[in-house]
Amino acid sequence: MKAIVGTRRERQNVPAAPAGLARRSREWVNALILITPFFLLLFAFTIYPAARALLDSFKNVSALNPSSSTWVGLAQYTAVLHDGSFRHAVGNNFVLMAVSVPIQSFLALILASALNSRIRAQGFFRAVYFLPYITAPVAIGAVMVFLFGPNGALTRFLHAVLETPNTAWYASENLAFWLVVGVMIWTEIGFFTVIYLAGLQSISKDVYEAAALDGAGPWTTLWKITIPLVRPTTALVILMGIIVSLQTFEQPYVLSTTGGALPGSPSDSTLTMVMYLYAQAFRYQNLGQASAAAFLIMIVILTFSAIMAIAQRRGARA
Amino acid sequence: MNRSLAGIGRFVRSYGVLCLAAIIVLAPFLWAIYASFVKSDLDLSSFPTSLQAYGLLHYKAMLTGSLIPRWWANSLIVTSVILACNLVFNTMAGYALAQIRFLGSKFLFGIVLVTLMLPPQVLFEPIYTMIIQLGWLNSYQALIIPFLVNPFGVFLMRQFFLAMPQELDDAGRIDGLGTLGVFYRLAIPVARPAIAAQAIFLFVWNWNTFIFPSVLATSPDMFTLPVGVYQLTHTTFTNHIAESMAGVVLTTIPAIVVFLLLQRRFMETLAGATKG
Repeated sequence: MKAIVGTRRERQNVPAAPAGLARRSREWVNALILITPFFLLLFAFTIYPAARALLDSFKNVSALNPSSSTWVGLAQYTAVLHDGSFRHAVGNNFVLMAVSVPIQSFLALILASALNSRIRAQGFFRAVYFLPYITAPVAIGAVMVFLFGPNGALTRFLHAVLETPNTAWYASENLAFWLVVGVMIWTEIGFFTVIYLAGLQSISKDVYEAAALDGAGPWTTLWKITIPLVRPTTALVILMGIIVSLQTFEQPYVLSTTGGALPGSPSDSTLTMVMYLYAQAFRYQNLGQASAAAFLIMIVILTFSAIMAIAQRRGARA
Repeated sequence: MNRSLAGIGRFVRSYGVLCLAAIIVLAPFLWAIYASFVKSDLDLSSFPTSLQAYGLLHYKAMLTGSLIPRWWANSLIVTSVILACNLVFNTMAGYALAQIRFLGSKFLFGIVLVTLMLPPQVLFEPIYTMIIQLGWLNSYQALIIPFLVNPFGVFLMRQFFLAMPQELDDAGRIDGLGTLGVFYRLAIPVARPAIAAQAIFLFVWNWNTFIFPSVLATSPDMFTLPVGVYQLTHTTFTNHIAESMAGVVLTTIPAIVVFLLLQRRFMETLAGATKG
């Protein structure tokens, strides 16, 4: 006891204390030098605009005369929520999420498992699958417009094989949305394959060898070993998939505006929440309503992220 | 014997799945390349066997008669300035938040996490309004300055520097380096894979991005490549498939080159960053 008190007093008495203070202030200056550019720019072009958007969402702002705005409470939010187009967009986003997330996660896991076995050319396949992710969505959209156009190569191929209608997919009310879903899955799959591959590589090879010795087939191995063991990766892949599907913009925008059609056409069947926001902000100059829509999208995304986080924690405990 | 047969079966199955997926992924790319060389749109669906049907005329037209070279230059200027500033500023901030203990560092990292969760859509309208008020519409400032830092980059670098061994820092101090010296001479060289991963992500996002440039640049000579290609394929050249595809190929090549150059380091870091 005495010794401890003694050491403490010693520590306080030695001249190391002012030196420590000097060192601490020097470290503060160093830290300041390193963080200032980042935080200044972050404040100017992220925090300040976000705060301003939040205020705008409770106001009646006009693009032409920003100073003449008045407070309108939640009116912008109710206007968005009562807008049939926005509701339609929310529905589209939810269906897109419900269809694309399970399919792309499952296919990515299959591809990653195939890559994880002793394959030559692993790097080649990985790079190929990643190509759609690094290609501009606008460029992908342009190619798909022609492949699925009237008389397009894939339109005719799918007509011959699956007897789908021989028309331009992006202009058909029944097909346009599914074209968007397909393009989204095609774009994202490589990214998730690479993430799954990282998760799989941390599983010990012994587990698989033991399973093979016990005569487990590929399906049994997948269901009983791989899927339970890559659960943390699956949670990540699903969460990222949800966020991407809720923020979908460019692919449906490019596909639906072919030939000068309205974004989201035919008749809002490919409209997404972000496309609605884009139209409100830049086509109709409805800035308050656009901001309200932006924060509604954010609430939806954060809600799903929170649900995923809770589900993952429950799963990890079980 | 039986086991080696099973092994062969597994091998064939794996390759079968991988090759099928590779064909599905590559087909649209190969079709775009094919279409860009076909001289006449009328020949597109018949896959002509005569070499006479193919040529470089669309590339010549795109490179001389269109604004594509200008858009290429715009994209290159905008993306390289954004990339350079992001790499420097994000890495600096990430290092400070990971390695220096200073008053408020936890609070500042909290701010980074909150902005990381903010969907970019929230910023469309306010940044557009800011740019108009600054009088920057149709200028390089508008396309560059709002995008110079990224909280994702800071997060990535902080995670990397947290795992950096303490011995490296100690060794630097013994050699008489200060905090900034350790950062510049020791930490940055060690962090190259993480910086490469950050570079690929930021390059891909900024090179391909469409929404902001499409509203911040409205005059054709200030378009970036994605905005230009969108105009090309959706307005003037709608009926010129082959020509559009040449534009698409010219847009995509730089992204693929950068990816192939950096991909090995990138994959390693992605694997490290998503583990655990």
